[in-house]
Amino acid sequence: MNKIQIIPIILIVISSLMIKAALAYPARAAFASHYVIFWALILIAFCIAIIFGTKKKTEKIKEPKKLLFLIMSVTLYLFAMTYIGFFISSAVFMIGTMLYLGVKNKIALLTTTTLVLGGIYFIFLKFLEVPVPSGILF
Amino acid sequence: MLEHMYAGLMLLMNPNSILTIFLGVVSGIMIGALPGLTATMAVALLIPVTFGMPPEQGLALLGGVYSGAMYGGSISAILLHTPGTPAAAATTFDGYPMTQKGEGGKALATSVVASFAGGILSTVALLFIAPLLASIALRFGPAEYFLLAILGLTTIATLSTGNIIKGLASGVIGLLLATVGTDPISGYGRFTFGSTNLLGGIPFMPALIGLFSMAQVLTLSESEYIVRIEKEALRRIRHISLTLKELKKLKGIILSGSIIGTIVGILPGAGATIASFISYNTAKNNSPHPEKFGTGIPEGVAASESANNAVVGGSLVPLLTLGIPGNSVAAALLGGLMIQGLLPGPDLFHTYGNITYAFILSLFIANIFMIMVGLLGAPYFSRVVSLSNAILIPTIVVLSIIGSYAIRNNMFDVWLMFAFGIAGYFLDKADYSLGAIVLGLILGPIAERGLGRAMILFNGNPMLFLTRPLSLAIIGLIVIFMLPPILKGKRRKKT
Repeated sequence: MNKIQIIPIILIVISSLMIKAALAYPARAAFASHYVIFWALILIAFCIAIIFGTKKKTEKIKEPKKLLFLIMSVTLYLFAMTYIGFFISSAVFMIGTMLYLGVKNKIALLTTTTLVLGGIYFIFLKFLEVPVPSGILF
Repeated sequence: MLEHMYAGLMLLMNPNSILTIFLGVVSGIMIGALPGLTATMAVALLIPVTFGMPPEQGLALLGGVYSGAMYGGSISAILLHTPGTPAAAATTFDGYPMTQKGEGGKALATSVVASFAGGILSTVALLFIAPLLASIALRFGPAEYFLLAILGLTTIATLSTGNIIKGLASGVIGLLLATVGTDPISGYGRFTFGSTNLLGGIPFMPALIGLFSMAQVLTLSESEYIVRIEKEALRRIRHISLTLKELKKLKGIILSGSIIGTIVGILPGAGATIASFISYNTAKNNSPHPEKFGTGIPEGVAASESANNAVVGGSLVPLLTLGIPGNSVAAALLGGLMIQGLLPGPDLFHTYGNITYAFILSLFIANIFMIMVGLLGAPYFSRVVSLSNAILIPTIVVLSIIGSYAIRNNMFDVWLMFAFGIAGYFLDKADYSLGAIVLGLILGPIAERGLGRAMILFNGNPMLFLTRPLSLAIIGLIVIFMLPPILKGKRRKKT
């Protein structure tokens, strides 16, 4: 093993749990059970081959802080959307993210947000009648 | 067939449809020109736009996006030495040296002309091969559908440029994800965790948008700009044109690239990147001056670009006739078809013949727009590349949310898309194939249903697979595709 590889280990754990669940299927779902077990075993075999055979190192995360910020901000954005609706939460998310990522020009901030959300409002909502998520309040 | 073709043409002959195709091509070129944003992402992000459109218009838009994005990738490959899409990687070999020599305009013209020729030839092939294959597909039984799904997964793993075992493992991850939901044979619910949202299985579009858009957004956060634009390179481009003499010199390479691209596109699982590399190497090997390849000659650009655009028509052959996407872009298009209530397969050419032919014919129009827009606007499109990631990231996130929500009007799908995005980011970092995961997810139900029904028909005896000529032919193809990586592995061991 060149280096502890977290992804194949996670995949082995998930596959094992799937096998355990599939073994408990009722008799009428015997085919479904065999099918899941078959592919889960194949995946476990591939993962073992990857753990012991892969020489190439996994690419490093270059900006972990930015990545974490983005994951957290999207999570908050999705939660907020269910309360304050799509447009207000999107405006806050877009301006906040752009500010964090270094956009200092206020005109660029407002123009981008207005153009994107205005475009969505007119093209999706008004013209194509495609719904957007709505919140409890709006 | 002619009846449906005429009716399809009539469906397209209105200003709305024409404008839709034009907008599709322009959007495709813009997204394709941005390195890191792929043709799959372009199609996936624009699918929600098609919701409110008649089916023929919606599909024409997506066809335009697909064609435009394939060409758009070459603009940044030629001007900035950074392929806009992976399919344009081989274009950088000669495209960028041409720009350095002050021949960027000629390289761009060669690229758009070759892309146009590849696109048109492959659409002609699609027009004539697809109905034939559809009539053969009527004879396919569950056993053949199971084997076709396995063939698709085998080819994507073995023909992919990365690690083969990781490619195969990715395909199996997709197959296992596809087991979530009601079992197609007994109706037993699996891995739903009590959620009704998962009874029908993992919805495919949120997964696709997550893997190809959200994961890419997380990758974009690692740099300020996708690529720093060289203003000097843009200044050098004045005349985007080719002389008739130059074009005549390239016609053989363009024709062979178009044929290679169409054939590779038809193979389930193989994609435009592979096609352009095969075409480039073929052109180099057949050239009287192979040493000139890589130094900045139009032949290199023509070989790569004709092939990657020819994949467009080719990849639609298995998609429209068998419901098996040729590559990940075709997989995204499958989502577009299903949203319009069209189920790919032989029925598409009979029951929905008018819409299907309208879609195929729209690709001709898309290619005509592509050459016009390409010749006139390539330098302007290249400026799109200078957009800061700080602006692209929130914009793509918002569009991804709309795309995943609009399908079932369900926030669960949005969360699922986000989860797939995070998983896709880490899997991509570790060199797993996101394309293979998506194909596994799509082909999983086809494989399981096919195998289950075949086993019922064969009374549980798998040896009966070998008694059917069509099954045997597909097994033969699977073996053929498994051979090169096995032989390569043996050769490596010897050395």
